Amino acid sequence: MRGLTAICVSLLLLLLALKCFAQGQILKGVVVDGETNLPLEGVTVQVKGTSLNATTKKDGSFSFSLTPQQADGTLNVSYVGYQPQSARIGSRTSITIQLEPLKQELQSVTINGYQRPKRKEEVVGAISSVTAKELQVDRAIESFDKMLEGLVAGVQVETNTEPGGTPKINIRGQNALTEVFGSNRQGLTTSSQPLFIIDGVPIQEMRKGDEPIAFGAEEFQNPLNGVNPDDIESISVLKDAAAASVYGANANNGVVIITTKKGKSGKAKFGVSFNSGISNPINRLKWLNGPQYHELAKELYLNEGINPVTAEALAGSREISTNWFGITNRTGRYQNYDMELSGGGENSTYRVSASFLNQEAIQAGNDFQKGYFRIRLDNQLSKKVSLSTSLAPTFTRKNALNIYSELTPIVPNIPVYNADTTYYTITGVPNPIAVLNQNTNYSEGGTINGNVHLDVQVLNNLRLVGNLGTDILTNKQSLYESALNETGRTQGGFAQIIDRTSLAWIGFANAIWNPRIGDDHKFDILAGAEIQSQSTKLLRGFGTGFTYYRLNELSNAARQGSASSRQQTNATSLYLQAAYNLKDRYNLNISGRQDASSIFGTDVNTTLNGAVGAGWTISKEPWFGKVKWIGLLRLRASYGTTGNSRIGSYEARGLYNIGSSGYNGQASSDPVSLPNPNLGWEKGYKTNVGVDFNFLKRFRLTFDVYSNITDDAISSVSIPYELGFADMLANTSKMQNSGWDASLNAQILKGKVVWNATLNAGYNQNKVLEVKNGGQRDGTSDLAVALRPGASTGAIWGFQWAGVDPQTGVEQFYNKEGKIIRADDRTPGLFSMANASVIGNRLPELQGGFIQDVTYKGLTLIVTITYVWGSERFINYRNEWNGNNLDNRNQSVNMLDRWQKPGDITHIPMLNRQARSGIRFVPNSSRFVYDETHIKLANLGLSYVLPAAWARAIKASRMSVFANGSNLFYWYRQEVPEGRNGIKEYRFSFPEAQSFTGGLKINW
Amino acid sequence: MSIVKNIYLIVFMLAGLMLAGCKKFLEQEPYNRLSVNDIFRDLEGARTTLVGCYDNFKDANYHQRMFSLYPELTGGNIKYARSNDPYLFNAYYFANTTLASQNDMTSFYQLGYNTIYRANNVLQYIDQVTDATTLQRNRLLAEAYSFRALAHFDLVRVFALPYNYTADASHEGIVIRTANTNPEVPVEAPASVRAVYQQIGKDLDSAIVLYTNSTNIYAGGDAKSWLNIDAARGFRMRVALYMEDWTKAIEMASLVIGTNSYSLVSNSSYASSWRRSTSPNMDQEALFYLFALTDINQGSYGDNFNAINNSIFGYMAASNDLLNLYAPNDVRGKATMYRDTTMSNVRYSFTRKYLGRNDSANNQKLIRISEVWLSRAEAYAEGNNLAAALSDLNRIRQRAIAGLPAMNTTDRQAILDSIYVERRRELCFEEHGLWDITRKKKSLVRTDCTGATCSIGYPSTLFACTKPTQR
Repeated sequence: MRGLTAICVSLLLLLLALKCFAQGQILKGVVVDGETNLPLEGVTVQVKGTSLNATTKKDGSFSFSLTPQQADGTLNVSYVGYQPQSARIGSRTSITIQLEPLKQELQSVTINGYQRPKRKEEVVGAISSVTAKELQVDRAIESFDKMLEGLVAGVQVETNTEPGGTPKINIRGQNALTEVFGSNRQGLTTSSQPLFIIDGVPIQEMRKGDEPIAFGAEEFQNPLNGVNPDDIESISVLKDAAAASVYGANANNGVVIITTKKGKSGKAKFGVSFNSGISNPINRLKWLNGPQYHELAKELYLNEGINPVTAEALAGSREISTNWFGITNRTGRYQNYDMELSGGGENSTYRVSASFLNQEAIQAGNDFQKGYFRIRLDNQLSKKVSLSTSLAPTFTRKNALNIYSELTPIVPNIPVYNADTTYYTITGVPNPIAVLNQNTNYSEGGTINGNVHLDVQVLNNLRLVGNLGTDILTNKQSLYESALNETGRTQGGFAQIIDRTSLAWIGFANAIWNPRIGDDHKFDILAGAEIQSQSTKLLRGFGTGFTYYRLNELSNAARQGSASSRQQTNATSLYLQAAYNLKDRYNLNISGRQDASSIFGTDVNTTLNGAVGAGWTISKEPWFGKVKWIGLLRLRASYGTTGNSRIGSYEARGLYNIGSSGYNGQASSDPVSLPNPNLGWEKGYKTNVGVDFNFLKRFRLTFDVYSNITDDAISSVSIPYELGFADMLANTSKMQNSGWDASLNAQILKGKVVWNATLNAGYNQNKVLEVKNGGQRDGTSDLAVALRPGASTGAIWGFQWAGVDPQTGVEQFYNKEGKIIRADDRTPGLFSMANASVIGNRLPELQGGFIQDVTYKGLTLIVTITYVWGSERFINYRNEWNGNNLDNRNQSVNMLDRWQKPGDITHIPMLNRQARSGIRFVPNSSRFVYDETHIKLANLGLSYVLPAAWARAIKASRMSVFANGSNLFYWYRQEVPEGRNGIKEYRFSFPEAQSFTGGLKINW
Repeated sequence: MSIVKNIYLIVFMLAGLMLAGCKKFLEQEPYNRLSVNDIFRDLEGARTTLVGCYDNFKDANYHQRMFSLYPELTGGNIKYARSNDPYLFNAYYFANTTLASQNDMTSFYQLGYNTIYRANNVLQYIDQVTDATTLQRNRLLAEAYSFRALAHFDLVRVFALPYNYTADASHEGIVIRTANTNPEVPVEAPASVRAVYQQIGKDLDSAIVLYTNSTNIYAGGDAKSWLNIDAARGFRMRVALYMEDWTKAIEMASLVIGTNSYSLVSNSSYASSWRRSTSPNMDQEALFYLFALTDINQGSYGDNFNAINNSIFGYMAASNDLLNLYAPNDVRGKATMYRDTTMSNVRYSFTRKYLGRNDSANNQKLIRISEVWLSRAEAYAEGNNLAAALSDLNRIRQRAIAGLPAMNTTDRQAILDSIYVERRRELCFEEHGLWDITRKKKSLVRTDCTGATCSIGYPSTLFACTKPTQR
């Protein structure tokens, strides 16, 4: 894989001298690696059409004595792992041949857990790999997890449009339950994010744990922002038990392994890259303008029986029309600078890289800066001992006022400023421009990822590996809500600092034994022990009552408060991975891992996971040899278990909280939960059957069918009140994700124009099979989530909409029996969650990507198309709330279609407010469920290697320019009437951006 | 090379060592909170769990609002001074259902059992408290028994019919919890009222014995703001009264009276003594009170009656049924013990019992000596010791009305009737209302009340609040 950092293949034949001899000629030559310029030993050099051949020596040299006829011929050079090459001899006496590493061969090497990288023919598990090139790091995307969208079969990346935000990643569907009561009680289900491991060190996740309620307002950063996409050499996604089980207790959501680049021996290579661009909002929500808003507001008051004069006055100005969203939008900017220095001698290599990223979002008040540094040293200390060290500090700053998503969209028929240039204010509704200029909300922090890796070849077939790594994360969120606007007025200004420091370390030691018995039996046995610890410290300070608006440090606050919290979890693990290879055709893999974690009670704190997998390379069977059109045919099957211990809380242990209030001046303590000594680990049972099929020399197909069952999923259950509590955490549910994923790669054109195309697809169905112990739960109607058997955990629970009654303008719905029920029917419980049914599913049926990669000479074009099929989105109903919030908030233009008079056939009911009209508003209505099915032209990337002469002019070896366009085009299945909002506008609350970037890359 | 060799030797040895020491490594106690095992490791921790029980008592769902108002509203001492969504509306009309969301007393039910859970933990983990002296240990136990008894007593009074509803009290009571069990074990069925009362009596008797050989465990606060031996005896007396165990009631009352520590406030000071921090103060009558915070914003029982300063909660007005019971010159009557406020053009009267510090932050007396006198009077009368009964009753009667001649009769029923009315006059708003009616097998008559179920004849199963259940 290490040859793939350069995007284009550049073959240079250097003609060092020209000389003709009439008779006999000595040709001396040297063969070197085209990328590292290091000599290659053992290369076969043959004069075409003759029996004359030679093998290169240690210094890569070879020589021939040629007849004139032969000298007119061609040299054929071939070497395992490199592209064969031929070169005209002409009259030359010396020649340097640079061999280009063979990409195909390298691509098929797979990182597989703790074991050495393996060739595809040896891999038994379902593993997808992404190379740096495929990742397309030149895109205007700030973190690699967002870049993965559409690139890996079976991996769904639900992107987050906010810069630095955390996308949701589902590997083969969502394997943890959806929290029924919303994300602020996140700590009560296990994490649904995969386990990310960078060079052997797991990345810590920022999520709610056991901390006191005082930390509820903390905004989380994406921890993967700490990984510079430019440093990534490859990414492996472990999807089934055979691959992931060796990561045991945390592998149920799949494992993503990131390998970083390292230096290569040879002279120092220096590269810089500069990338800059702009972005503009797309698919913006269309809001009512001033006159439209006035009309609707007035109509609402008239409907409520208010007299026309008062209604006109209450509705505000008829003329003023402020386009708040236009004012707060801007053209986003993007800049990225990269620097890389690498090289080394025979026994040591180094690589140093640094990057700086600056992103100004399309929404004013939101920007993101990131600085990365990474140093990696690889030393061969002796013939048998090698040491690899890396250190990667990063720094992040993020401004996130989020005035779209966090503030109430203010009404349009008011001005920004009063006549005296102060900000126009409505009580309780912040003026966004005032917020933009008076408030601050930024996060500053960083990560340090460090690793020391020692590798000792004790015997010929026995290696010992020791590794010590750390992952440190700090983040400080500083918020100031000024007393000058509505966000902080009542408190006289509010300032808050939340400081998070997480320290994780991991140590592991592996013994790897590779015995062989004859040529037919090869073993690869790995046994290891791992110990890890993670601690998080939180500190919060806050203050209110700032006497002078410009001084907003906490020390200036009249009233101050603080809180702190500490959490620590420790874990130890033992694991074994044994691979047996029979005749290079049959592979058997057995792996097991025992984890013990301090998070669960002492009785159940140990869990054992294991997997067995087998592979059969049919195409290597002797009897198969004759089928020419099949390059590789291989079957794989695996079964095993994984776990998920990332519950983030000690709640199961029956904890007492020391209260600050107490009684009568004495401190009190309160039991916060009932201890459940039986609470155990969630268990995943994964079955996978796959086939690898390379055919017609151009096509490579990988197809896997799977069934993943998550059993004993943790959720909160109702318990008899007599136990002293209303609920507790228990292992309640059994859930299945089943489906298939496939990746088809085709080399459509070879030769001058190289055209590669890859189609990825993942089909998944989620179903909650069983909910035990009375764990069945309904969330609130707002969230439309329920934990009930028989449906997907992503199901949207609500009521099928039956349109607006043309006579009365009242909404109607179908109940479970298919009978029409009306919103003005006051029967208790009619619209309770207990009567709701499934009206959509947030999880897609099919999703994936289609990537085309065309190269012609120095020009490369990569087109990335992503698609999602069969998922629904439950949108924010507050933008179309039938008038309930019309008095203080702007609405979607869709509200223009409201029912006005008997006979109107429309899909928006009569404007009314529930409190006055008695007409119920049903938030979990299928009216708010939109089909998310879409195809997106996610990226178009073009790069061009500039003529060598240009590069030479600045003494560089290579110069290239590149350009990218992101989010270029969308097709949504659900159509939207002209001038109205639909799925594409409602999908993201932080507006989506379309970006265009261009850049230059120079290597010396 | 030798250095290198050492490095890897060290690495692998370290790895080995780390695994060897992993047992300790995996016993990671949380920092933000304490596990059950951990908190009972010392007296300090154990004590905080008991303070937590007081915290529960002070909760809005317990003595601060729901539990305390329940017998007063249902018993006809309170009427609402506002119509929209008042507290305990279902309870007021005896319309609570098993559905948790349609039962006003759900949170109290939960909190009652939560208090029992806390108390049981103290009893269960007491042996882990190693640094407490025997005297301190006895106090921890005594308080835990008291809390367990009181929570059961409060639950059984709300959720079951009176003890004397059946001759042998065999009718359904509540679930008795004397130990915290593994949640997998099914919860016991509700026990009979007799069994529940026996358990309560037993726990209070244990507490009384333990109190006699114990020492104070709290660093601050007035002694009466903590449970104590006299409070335990007082409550034991109340339990005996409900059980119609007159001998026990007299025994307990006499023990409390015999201490001479709780004198009656005089007639002239009566009205003013009900305001916080005045002297003489009604606190002198209290065997045990819940300490009210001095800041009005922190919530107190008095908020419910503070219509003037508290627009959110202050709408629990006195009913005319109650106000009409007082003679014009009764110090407890409308003129001296009630504040009038006009709300939505209607004049309402609110009790002055909880005034002070911005006007609703007075200590909430859960048992006071006036009740002890009246209870002993009742027990004597029921036991046919009429002279003793009259003597006790007259103390309260004559204190209330200056110059009132002593009652002197041999009509037992007249004495009992007088005690019955006197209790309502004296102890209104102090968690007796409905139960003083039903335990005397009387019908509920609420005339200053609108609605279908204002009056209920005795006997009726409506007198027990329906228990909420988890589906």
